[in-house]
Amino acid sequence: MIRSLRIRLLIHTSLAVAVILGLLCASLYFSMWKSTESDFNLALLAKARAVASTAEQHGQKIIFDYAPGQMPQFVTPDHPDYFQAWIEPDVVIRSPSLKQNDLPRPPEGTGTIYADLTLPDGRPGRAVSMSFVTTIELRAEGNTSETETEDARTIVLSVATGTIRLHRTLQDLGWLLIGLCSLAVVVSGIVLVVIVGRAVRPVERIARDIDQLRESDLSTRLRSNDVPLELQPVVEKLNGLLSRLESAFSREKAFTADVAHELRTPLTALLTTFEVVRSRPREEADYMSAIDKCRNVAQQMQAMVETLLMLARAEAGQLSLKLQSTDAADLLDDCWALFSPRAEARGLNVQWQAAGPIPIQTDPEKLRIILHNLFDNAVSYADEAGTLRISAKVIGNEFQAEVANTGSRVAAEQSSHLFQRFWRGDQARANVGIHCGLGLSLCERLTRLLKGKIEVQTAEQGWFTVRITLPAGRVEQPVVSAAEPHPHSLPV
Amino acid sequence: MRLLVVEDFQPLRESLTQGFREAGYAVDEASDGQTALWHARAGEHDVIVLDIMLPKLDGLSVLRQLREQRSPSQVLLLTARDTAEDKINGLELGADDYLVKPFLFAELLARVKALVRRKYETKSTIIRIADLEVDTSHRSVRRGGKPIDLSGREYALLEYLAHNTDRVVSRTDIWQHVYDFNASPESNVVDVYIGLLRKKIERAGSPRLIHTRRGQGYILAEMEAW
Repeated sequence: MIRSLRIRLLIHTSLAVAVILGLLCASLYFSMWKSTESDFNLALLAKARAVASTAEQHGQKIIFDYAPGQMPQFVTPDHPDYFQAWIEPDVVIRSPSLKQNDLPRPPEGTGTIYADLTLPDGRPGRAVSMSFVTTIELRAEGNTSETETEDARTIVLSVATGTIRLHRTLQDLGWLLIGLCSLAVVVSGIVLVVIVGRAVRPVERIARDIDQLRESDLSTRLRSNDVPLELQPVVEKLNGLLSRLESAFSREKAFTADVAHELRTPLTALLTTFEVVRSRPREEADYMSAIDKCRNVAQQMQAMVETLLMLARAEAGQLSLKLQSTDAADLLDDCWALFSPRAEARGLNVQWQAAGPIPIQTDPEKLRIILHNLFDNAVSYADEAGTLRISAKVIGNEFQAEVANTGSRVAAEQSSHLFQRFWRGDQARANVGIHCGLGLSLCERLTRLLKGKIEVQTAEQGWFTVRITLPAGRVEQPVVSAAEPHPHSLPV
Repeated sequence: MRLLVVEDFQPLRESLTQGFREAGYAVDEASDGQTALWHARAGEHDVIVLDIMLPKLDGLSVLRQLREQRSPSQVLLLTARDTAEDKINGLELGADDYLVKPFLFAELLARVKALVRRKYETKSTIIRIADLEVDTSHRSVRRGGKPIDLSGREYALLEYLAHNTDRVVSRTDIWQHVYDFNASPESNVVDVYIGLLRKKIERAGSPRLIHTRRGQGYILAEMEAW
């Protein structure tokens, strides 16, 4: 298998050209050979007819009446032609050139026959033989009469001539055609090298362009202005791939910068606190409060790192789904327990619309993380003494949970940013700490993993609602029949 | 010297404030851009330590407004981003210095001191008035080669006077640049501290260096000049 497109193209087209030219030359040679042969044969036949026309019958005797000067080719000693005639079974006449030699005797009455033979002088030759009856009778009185006699005798005539010239002509023609054909193949080969070179040049240029692409600079694009139509899709696809790569790389870069940024501030807080505390001797209580402060900061950093890890794992597809029957109402209660003290401390009014049990089929650990984040956001971002509304229900075969809070300053047009990592509504910073804009993007990723969706709604009076919709799954409904009471059903 | 610390991450802001206070600075704090501007308008801060990522109004906008208002404060930007763009951006908007998080508090303190010197056009860390030496990097004072022990506030007052050598500073100036406790500037706290300071540096018949200008304020200078 030849890898080079240029060489492959060259070989294939050259082969095709050679075959076509070869066939062309061969058929040309064949037809020219045919016509030369038939010309030769016709000329030979004409000679035979000329000889035959001189035959005269005198009673029982046949005379070939010709003057040697009329047909010098039968007389000349140099490369002469030959003829011989028979009337069964005797030889009637031999051309002077034959002397005492014989031409091979042809069979009688089979029309015109051509046969190749060796001439008496040793040259290759061809003979034509024909049978005829002479129509000219010479009467005793010496008058010529055209009337046929009853005893007209069939004469067999054979005329032979040399074929060296014919063979040489055909040979010359053959060589000429082979030469022309080879020349044509060579010339077309050279032309093809140029043409193929030109045709392949854009490919080579693209290859060079691709070769110059660097990981460090993905903003360059392949030129597509003077690329042949056939390669346009390739270039476009490559450019598309480059764009996607570039945006993926820049997203990664931005993400790394964001991570660094978000970890740097708490890290600075830790370092500064340590340094300031160490700068002079202090009361034990001061040390304790500094330690507490550092522990809080460290916990916040830990929470952020955990979220980041989870997000990274989710995006790398490393999180597996462990579906099991879960009471969503129970789970909500459980998660809320962590946040109710904070909600109380902030004087939030909580409206709970999730009466249990709500049996669904889901991965409770993932759902717990989602709820944790939503509760955390709601409690942190609700206005002082604001309202929280938490609801959950199953509609058809979908589980729907909503966490809403008042006091949102997220504008409707900002909603699209909410799921981006590290994006934060501005006031988010006021409650700093763990809120580094990762929660919602993690929720988004996890709901997708749970084959559900997450939506946000901003409404009047600062209501901000996050709704997650998950497939409720096939939940075994308790079957109660009269014959066999359900083991868990209580007697009424 | 009075500082304004603008940082939204509470634990960091608290530690910075404590550190600066213990280093003898009067410190105001702000947790968002708007509060920072309000503080900056109210008092004259020698140095503003300004975080870039802030709620309500980001640090660069705060800086732009300060410069538009021709604030004489030196601004040190704190940034968590270390790209050249961020630094160039900040410096071109008129920041006097920047520090990338995480940093050592000692370095921040040293840079703040340098900014104070720059503000008062004092190149050396040691300021000399006659035979009085104020070493601003070690916060120590000598007169005639003998060390003088000063309290934090006394030192802060002396350093402010030293940075303004040969210039008359009003009580209000002193109040704004040196003290951050809750008392009105009309009270005689400044006079009390001037008295304490005089006792320590003008002991045993050495020539007076702190002079009172009636109705104007105080001046730290060699007598011959006046």
